[in-house]
Amino acid sequence: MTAALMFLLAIILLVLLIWLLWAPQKLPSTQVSALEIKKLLPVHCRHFPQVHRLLATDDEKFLTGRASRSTLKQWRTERNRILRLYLQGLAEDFQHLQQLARLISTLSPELRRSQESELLLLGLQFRVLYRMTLLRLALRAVPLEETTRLTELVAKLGLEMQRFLDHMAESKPQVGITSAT
Amino acid sequence: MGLTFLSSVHWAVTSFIEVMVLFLALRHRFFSRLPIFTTYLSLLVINEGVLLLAYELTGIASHVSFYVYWVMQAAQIAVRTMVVYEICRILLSPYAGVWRLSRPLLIAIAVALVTAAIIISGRSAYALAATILTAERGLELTVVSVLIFGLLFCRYYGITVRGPLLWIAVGLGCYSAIQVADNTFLQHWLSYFSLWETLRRFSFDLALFFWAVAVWKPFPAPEPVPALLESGYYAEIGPRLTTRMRELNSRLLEMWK
Repeated sequence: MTAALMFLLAIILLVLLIWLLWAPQKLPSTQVSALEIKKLLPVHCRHFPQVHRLLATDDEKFLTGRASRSTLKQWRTERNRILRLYLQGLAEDFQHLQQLARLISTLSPELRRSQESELLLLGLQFRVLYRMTLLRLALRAVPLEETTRLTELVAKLGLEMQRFLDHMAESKPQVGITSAT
Repeated sequence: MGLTFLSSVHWAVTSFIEVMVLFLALRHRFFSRLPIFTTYLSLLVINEGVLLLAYELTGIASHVSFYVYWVMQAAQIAVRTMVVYEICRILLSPYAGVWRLSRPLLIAIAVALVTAAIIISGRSAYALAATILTAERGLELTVVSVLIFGLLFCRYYGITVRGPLLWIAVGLGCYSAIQVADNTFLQHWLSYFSLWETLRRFSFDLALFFWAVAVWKPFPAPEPVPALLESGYYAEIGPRLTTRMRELNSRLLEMWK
């Protein structure tokens, strides 16, 4: 039993080593331009007005009774598909912001262990919850109110990061995050 | 009983390659950037000389040769652990915050694993050879674990590992991981000693190949150290970010309920 575990451990360590050294990095290099940094700011949450219209109950009310059952079903399926894509976009926004946060940590002279471990745990928690939400969406639609709240949160986070980056560029333009021009 | 003809040829070739790797490392001034790694390469060459002397004087199956072999192995593992620390230091220390955060953790992992290796091998009820193998396995596990944790930090914070450091790390990691499996194998199937020996040689040859690739070209000029942010920035944005993330996760959790 112990021998099998040790073999397994050795194989896992070997695979992990190769992955750590050769798998492509998602996080931008520590010497990045402002243009690359801008790419990390949220973009999908800006499309919320369109999604908001799609999720509004008015359309569904209008179609109920007027359109055939199959058309209504098709419309709902299509609406869920768009919502799923939108949620995927929101998750992408969130991950980009997380990457930006890590970049700031990398370039900071002092890190707090509690804060870093919380960031790591929250990131992991988000991944799990996001997968669960997608699963829920596959079963039934996510209500408009909840999607609005999520969008607002990601947008707020993005806005704060944007303000922070602007402030950083104004006060200390020579740091690792270089100018785009 | 001496070495077989094939084993002698293999030993001679390996020793020659070790000398060449050391020569290239010295020629390409690796000593100034990686002093512990260069010391380790020197130790490999010294090891061959010491073993040859011990085998010639006392015979390959003597007690003296046995102890000389394992003392040299212990010295090599100790220096290999230091090489891993050197690699982690070169990669992470330009980022003061990350290095301050990761260094105590890496040291703690090393201390915990070494202590565990000593305790487990001390409790071993097997013969001396099996106890040594258990201790060696624990120490090799320490080498590869510290290396992997160091690389995990690099990956998490977007620090790229490339050039000679990458090849040195691959060599160290592969060798130690294979040794962990190989020593486990021998403890349970002692009759397959020759297979254990072959795997041991193969893993070392593989590591030597990677180190040869590492020292083949001169050590690249150090990359410009990134200018760090003022500590106030981190203190300002960090808590806000965690609050928002917490909020976002609780919303997602509510959606699931």
